[in-house]
Amino acid sequence: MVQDKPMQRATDMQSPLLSIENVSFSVPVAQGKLTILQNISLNVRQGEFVSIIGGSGCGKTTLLRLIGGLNRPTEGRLMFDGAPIEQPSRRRAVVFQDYSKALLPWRTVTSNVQLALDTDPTPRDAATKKKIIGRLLEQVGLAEAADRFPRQLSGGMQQRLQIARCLALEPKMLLMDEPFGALDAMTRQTLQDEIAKLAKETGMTVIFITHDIEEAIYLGDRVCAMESRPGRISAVLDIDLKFPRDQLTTREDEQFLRYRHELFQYLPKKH
Amino acid sequence: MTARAILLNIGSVVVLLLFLALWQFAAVTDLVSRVFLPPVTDAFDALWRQVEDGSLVQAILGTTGRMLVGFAFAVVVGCGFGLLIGLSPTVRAYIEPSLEFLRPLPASAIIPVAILMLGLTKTMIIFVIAFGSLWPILLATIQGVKSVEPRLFEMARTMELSSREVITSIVLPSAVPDIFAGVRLGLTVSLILAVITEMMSAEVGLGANILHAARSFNSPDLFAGVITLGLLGLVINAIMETAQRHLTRWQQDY
Repeated sequence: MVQDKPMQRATDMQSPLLSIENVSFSVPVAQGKLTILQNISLNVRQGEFVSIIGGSGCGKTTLLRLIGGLNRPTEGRLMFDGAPIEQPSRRRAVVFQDYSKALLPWRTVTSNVQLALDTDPTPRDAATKKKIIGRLLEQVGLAEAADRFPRQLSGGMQQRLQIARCLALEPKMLLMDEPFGALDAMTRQTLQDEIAKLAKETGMTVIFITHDIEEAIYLGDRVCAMESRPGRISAVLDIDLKFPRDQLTTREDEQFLRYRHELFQYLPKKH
Repeated sequence: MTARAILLNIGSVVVLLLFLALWQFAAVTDLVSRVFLPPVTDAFDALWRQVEDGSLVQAILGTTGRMLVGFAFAVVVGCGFGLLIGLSPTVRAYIEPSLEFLRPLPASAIIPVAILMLGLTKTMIIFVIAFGSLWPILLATIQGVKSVEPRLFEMARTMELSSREVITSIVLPSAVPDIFAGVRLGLTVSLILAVITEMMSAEVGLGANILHAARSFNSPDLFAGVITLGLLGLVINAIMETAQRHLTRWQQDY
């Protein structure tokens, strides 16, 4: 098991994988413009798991879309692996919140993952693809459902499928937009542990958007809290909890509760 | 099959037999003159005669042949332009008003125009069939392409899919159920038009046979033709239904 390295967190400045530099994002409206994000700066190291929390409408999804390259910032810039982010890239895979809409309903589980491989610039023969798909489905626990169609899967399984498809891209960074928000509490806990394990195993960098403080702390090496109108980062907290984390003991840890207490003040009290 | 389904199947056969019995009764008792309504048995005798002398096969091949050529044009043009119009809002803005004018035009209204320009030829027949069956296919394709889930386009961007990959892997498969519904409608229209147009021209076919039989008061042949057309429609529908079930397998639960 890979150990957490809290000491390294202070060294954000040494060539981060992702750096967000004074980024603002606004959209034109009838009376001038509406600022969604204001002056966001954040550096993310290779292999780091960063959770971003905030109430609804604080712009956290917009921030993720900027990192993904789906939208361009109106001010500032985003750098990924030394180059400015100008468009989406297979190296930054996006796990969308609405999994049922992001999957191809006419393709089986296997075939949905296959899409990521078939469109890969690196050519692979059919046997290799089959092996990769088999391994990925095994990894996310969908091996049994390989020949089923998305609508024949539960919500949790559909989200697992979307994750498997993203992993097939072999991304350097996984961008997850409230991936477990629509799932029931039990499934959510299982998937939290699975994604934590996957992140450690693959060494992948993860940006994880959520509105659930505990989920953010439980998964993150770092938690960014955002405030709304305009969306901005109000606090960044290093999470010093040992790995592997445990649904029962970690959540009862005094340190965990202190983090929870500290972050609570940044979330809107009323909706 | 459940007991209920079996019962319903038996029921439908019984209704059909009752209908034939009623027909036979009306004819043999001269309730309706035999000049207009032959007994069922005579109609089937005539049908069998046509099978034996090969004229039935010839007629079926003539009608379905022209129908399929015209229909094929409609599918190619309908799906092609449907894709273009559905994908591009600009093209849509230019073309949609014209479409709205052409679409409700009954296909039969253009038959005189087609005859005037192309004569009583095979080309005219195929043109009319293609024109008439084009609209349901074109409109359904536009609809199917327009209603692709927007999230899928974003997903495609994050995977860096090329435009060609987006069309073949996302747009077309997503539009298949709509396109197929249009294709089925178009096929029905093409059969209707194939029969009508050959009644006006000198081509050998089921429609021409019926008209000829009617004009010579040969009611057994007339009804044999009607029965054949009914059966042809039945077969086409069964084929399309099977194809549809296969193509939209993913929409069914199990």
